[in-house]
Amino acid sequence: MASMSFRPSTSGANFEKVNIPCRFYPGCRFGNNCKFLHDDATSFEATPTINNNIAQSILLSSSSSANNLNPQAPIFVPTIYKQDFDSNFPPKSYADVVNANRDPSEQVTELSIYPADDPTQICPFLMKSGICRYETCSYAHGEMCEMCGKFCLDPYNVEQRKKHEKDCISAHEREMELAFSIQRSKEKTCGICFEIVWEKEGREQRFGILPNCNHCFCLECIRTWRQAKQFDNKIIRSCPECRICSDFVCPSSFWCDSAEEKEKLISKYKNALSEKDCKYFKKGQGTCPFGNKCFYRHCLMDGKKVDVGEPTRTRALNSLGHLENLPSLLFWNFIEERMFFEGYSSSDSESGVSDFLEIF
Amino acid sequence: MAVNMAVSRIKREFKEVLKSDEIAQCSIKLELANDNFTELRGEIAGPPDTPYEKGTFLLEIHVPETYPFNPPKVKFITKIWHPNISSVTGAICLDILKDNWAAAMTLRTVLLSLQALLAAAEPDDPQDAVVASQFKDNYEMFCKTAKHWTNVYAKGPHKFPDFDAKVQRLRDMGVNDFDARAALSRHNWDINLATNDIF
Repeated sequence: MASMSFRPSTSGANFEKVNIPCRFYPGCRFGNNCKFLHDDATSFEATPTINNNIAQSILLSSSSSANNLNPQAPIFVPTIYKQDFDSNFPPKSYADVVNANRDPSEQVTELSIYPADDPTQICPFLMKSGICRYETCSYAHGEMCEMCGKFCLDPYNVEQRKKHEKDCISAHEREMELAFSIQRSKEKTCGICFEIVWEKEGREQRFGILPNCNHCFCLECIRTWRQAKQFDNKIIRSCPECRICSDFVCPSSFWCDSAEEKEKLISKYKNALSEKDCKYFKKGQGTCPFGNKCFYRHCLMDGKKVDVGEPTRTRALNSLGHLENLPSLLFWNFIEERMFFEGYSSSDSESGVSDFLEIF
Repeated sequence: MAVNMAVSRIKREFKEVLKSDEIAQCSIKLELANDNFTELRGEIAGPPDTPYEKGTFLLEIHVPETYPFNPPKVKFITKIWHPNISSVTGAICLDILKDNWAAAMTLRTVLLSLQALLAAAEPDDPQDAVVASQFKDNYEMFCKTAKHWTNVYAKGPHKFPDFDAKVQRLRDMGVNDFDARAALSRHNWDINLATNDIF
């Protein structure tokens, strides 16, 4: 190493001291081994103290040739900035340097003129980044909401704070619920086609929820099964896994297995159906064989709802002495066939027909 | 769609069966009989403590295009003496393979159900009426006959030299092996009745 030859021997004081003040004292890295004078009275005051690394780099660069530069050489930092540099402050910008000589009061007045149209409005800088650098900013400075991290809590308005907290919590709950639903649904496989429901194509990515058991099927498979003509009604109405009978299938984008959620989903589904006009009743023009058991709306032309009474077929069949439970079976057949037909044959432009299938 | 679903499901089921515990215990087996996943061969071990114990029974499985909305068509290739299985054709009388099928059932559950059927016959819902009546009227004779069939057709361990001798006598009369055994089995191994039946 080139520098080694330059370095004085460290073995002790067996060298001659030169009667010239050391340029680097008191920061000289050679300490007592330096052959120059280390003396407070004669120290080179005009020379700024440079830290040891820099001294070394100077030594290195002076000893090596110009085309053999050391890329590991430390950055040169003048002493006046050294303190800032060392204490991890970001280096001063050009603007800081340029403005360094300006009157500080002038700076403040310039910042303080940031205008606020409405002093109760929350400072936009604070809202965005959490920092407002205008010391006398005339906007309101809210406190940070721990839920959403926004500085939007009005320190003077208790009502606003309460409302925001409530909104924030309910938004958070909704998000959590959604996250749980996704977690629950994404791995679920259909018990008929054995495929992961969410990995199926487009419209097939839906679950067919059975009200009376918790077995998982995709809507298309369970509907195809329930449409099977080669088996008894009793067989196809029951779950292919556990044989518990369910009267209908509720379409859902997410899987749900808790009783509470299921109830919510099913009542939502029934509500959605009840807002659609019954194709048999035809706003009073026709008669619906399913009477008040029908899931669909029985509404007259003027929008008035009517109770059409018990299913008509019950009476007809009873009078003929036929099976009494047949009408209800027929009704479920109808519901299912109708849903099946609408769900799969309606074009997307006819969105009103299939929208109830999309509800969650 | 239906064809695709049948094939993709059989592929999945095939993997499921290969990984199952039953394969590890050698109690069921499943292999492809053709390349398009519609014909398969099943194999079930005779359940312990039954006349079929230590026997190996081969099954022919045909998967319809409408599978799994329709059951697979399954029959025994190995001859078996059982009230719910035809001793002649191997046709099976089992509700889940007919009108009690469910789309969530798999080839594995079918094979296991058949194994269970061997362990628990239903003589009141017979496929083979002769076997069923023997099962009900002369259970001991039924067990011996079933064991004998298991020995002859399914590599079972229990030998019945007197049965073999009777079969041989009929064969000497020019009757083929299976017809002789079937006739003798139907007539509780009474060689005169069996002879009368054949000629």
